[in-house]
Amino acid sequence: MFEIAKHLAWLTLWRRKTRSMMVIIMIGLSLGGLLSIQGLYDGMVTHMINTTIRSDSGEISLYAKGYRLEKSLDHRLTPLLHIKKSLSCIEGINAYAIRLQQEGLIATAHKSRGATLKGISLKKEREFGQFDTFVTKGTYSFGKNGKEALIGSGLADKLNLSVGSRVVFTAQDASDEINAISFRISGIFKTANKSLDENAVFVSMEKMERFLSLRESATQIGLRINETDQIAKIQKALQRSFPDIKVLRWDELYPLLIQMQDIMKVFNWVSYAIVFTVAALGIFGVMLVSVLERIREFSIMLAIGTPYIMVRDQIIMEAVFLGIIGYIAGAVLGWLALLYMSTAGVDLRSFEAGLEMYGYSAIMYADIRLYYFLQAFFAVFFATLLSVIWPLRVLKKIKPILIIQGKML
Amino acid sequence: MMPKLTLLILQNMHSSVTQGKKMIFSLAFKNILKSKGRSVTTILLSTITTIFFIAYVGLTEGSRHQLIKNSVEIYTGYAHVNLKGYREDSGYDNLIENAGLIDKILTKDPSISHYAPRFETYTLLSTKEKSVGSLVAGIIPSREKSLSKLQSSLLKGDYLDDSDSNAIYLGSELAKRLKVDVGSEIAMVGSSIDYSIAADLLTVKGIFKTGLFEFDAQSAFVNKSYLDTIMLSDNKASYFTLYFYDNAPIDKATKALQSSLDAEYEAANWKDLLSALVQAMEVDRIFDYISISIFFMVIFFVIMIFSYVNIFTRVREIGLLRALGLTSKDIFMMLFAEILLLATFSVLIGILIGSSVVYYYELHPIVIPGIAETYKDYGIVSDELPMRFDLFTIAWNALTIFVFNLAAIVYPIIKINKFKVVEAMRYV
Repeated sequence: MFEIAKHLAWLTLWRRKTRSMMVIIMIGLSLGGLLSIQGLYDGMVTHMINTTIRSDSGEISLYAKGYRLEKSLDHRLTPLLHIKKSLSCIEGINAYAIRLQQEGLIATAHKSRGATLKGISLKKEREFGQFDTFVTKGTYSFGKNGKEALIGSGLADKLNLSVGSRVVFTAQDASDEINAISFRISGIFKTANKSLDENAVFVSMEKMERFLSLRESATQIGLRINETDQIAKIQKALQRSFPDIKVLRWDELYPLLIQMQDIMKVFNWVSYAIVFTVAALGIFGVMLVSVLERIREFSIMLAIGTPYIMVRDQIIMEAVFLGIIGYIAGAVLGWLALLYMSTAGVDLRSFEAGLEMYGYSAIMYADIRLYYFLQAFFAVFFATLLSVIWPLRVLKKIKPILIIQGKML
Repeated sequence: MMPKLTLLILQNMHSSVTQGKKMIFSLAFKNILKSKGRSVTTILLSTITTIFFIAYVGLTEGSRHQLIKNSVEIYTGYAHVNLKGYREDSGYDNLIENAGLIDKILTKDPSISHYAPRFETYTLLSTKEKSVGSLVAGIIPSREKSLSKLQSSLLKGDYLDDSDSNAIYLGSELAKRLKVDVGSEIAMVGSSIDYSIAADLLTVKGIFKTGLFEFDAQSAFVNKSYLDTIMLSDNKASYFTLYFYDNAPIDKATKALQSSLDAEYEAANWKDLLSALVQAMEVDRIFDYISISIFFMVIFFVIMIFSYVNIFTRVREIGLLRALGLTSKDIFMMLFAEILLLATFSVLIGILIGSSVVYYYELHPIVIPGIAETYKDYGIVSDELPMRFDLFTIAWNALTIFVFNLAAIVYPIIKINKFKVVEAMRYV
């Protein structure tokens, strides 16, 4: 019986082709658009998170207690030998980067700016987050003698620096004496992490230690962890091993990124809810007319003994077919758009300055995740079911004989 | 005789045309009342969409306007006069060498309400425990009161005055970074304009908090006349900041100002000075419209579906009207008049409610506690989200919905007019 209802529903659907096509196009286009936007917006935030993790925080970062409140060398991690040894014993840590930083003033012969000098190991940073891929000009090196530096693109622009330019950095060393250091620029990097691009200068750890008169010290140790589900476990293990050190996950260090991700999720749910509530109204219009214009047909069917369930199934199936075809059209459209945007990207370089201001990349790449399509399926499914409630109510209330006699409706 | 006859014929023609139009409108009106379901749905959808669109654009434009206004009014100012090339290379090589001359020009300009010179440099501010590279700007404190929010943002201590020397006015975040309070001493080390070392010991006179996180973390101010003695920058300025009496037509005002300046100087308005922010707002606006366009597309289809369904339930009736002598153009006019009446009614109600909402929330902004703290890195300085009441924006928002409504009916009308009279009368 259900097979007959299904077959009748399918045939009815194509009896009024234009009407059905309108609904299918409506679902297809809106779904395609929603999926594209969802993937693109998610991709923007994911890119920000990845860049931040790769260039700075890792999945977990270690700081001396008090350092994040007061960025002073008094609050530094030392000695490092014990920490390094412990890190190598904890399973799941893929790579780590040790950094020593100090705020100060960077100056050329003509200009100066506030900046942060960071001592790093190029090898470790490459293992940590492939930092070499962020270098846009010059080379990923500290020169032959290890005396050169890498500088953020924003800071280089402000100071009109190019590869080979000489700068002087002035800051307080560990004994609170004002000290200055001079170096040439070997490379310029662009990470889309605003705080690095506009403030940071990287020198070798050895040079930094000499400059600050420190040894075996760090202000931050970033850790990379491959398995996402291991992060919390490793954080706990580290905290147990180092009770006097702050062990923080990337989302604790950058809560704004998580908030942005949450806002995007809410935005997507609200968009789906609004769009498909309205779309349900469109499907409802078609379904109601479809029922009303065949009310005599249905009355005759019911009068000759066809069970109500079969008529009901026919109407539900009609709506379901509309929903499924619309969903397939929309999912394919959305998938193609996402595939294009995730491989070729969306080039917004004409708005580069504006996007960089908020830490977005000028070329945006979309995410494609299975749950987008599941979420979309449920939205279409509920819209379809919602749309047939009223038409079925109308059908349930009819008195077949009166309708056949033309005394009702 | 002939002219009278022509006039009579013309009058008759005119009256029959008018009667025809009246009849078409009367039919359209009756159809609206008859098809209550479709009419109510169309009116509801169009009204809600109009209200939603006006309120949404009002809110997003309001937030953007607020963000730009804060950036402009807290410190930047509506326009600058600087040496050409200063904005690209803001070092000592591009200073205004004769600030007195610019001062005279600006004094004479009747369109300028307030202006003042500023001298900006970057120095190392050091305490016993901490050194931070920071912007130090020389300002004329009395004139700056009406050009920026520096004085009104005072948090602790006192604002600067024109006779101050060795007094520094610090951003709250910078004060935290340096671990200083009012009365603390700070050593300033920088370079004067002849690139010799310039250093002095300053006392914190006051601490300000504008809410612009980066600005509060990286800026300090001293009296310009004092800084000029340290930096050897007497009668020199990085730029002049200014307010016009009417800052709305800013492009026109800046262009007029430019014409009164020598070729080596440049008048730049906030759109040039904050070009990255303006661009960011532009991208934000584009993404907003992309998101909202999906919603409009669905509304468009729903209105089209309802119109289509409604028209197709009246195919036989329309066939009859054609048989009685109405042309396909008359049918088009009748159906178009239906949507025209519905759209006009709903959009007008939408405008009324939508603009009232926007106007109310412009005066009484929505408050989301904690939003300024959360988004401080993005230049949000207040928990208030005001809407922006702008008649032009409201008009084009409403017009968009109106055009959508009219466009949604075109396809169903074309489709129905393809029927031949007999075909339409026999349509099942």
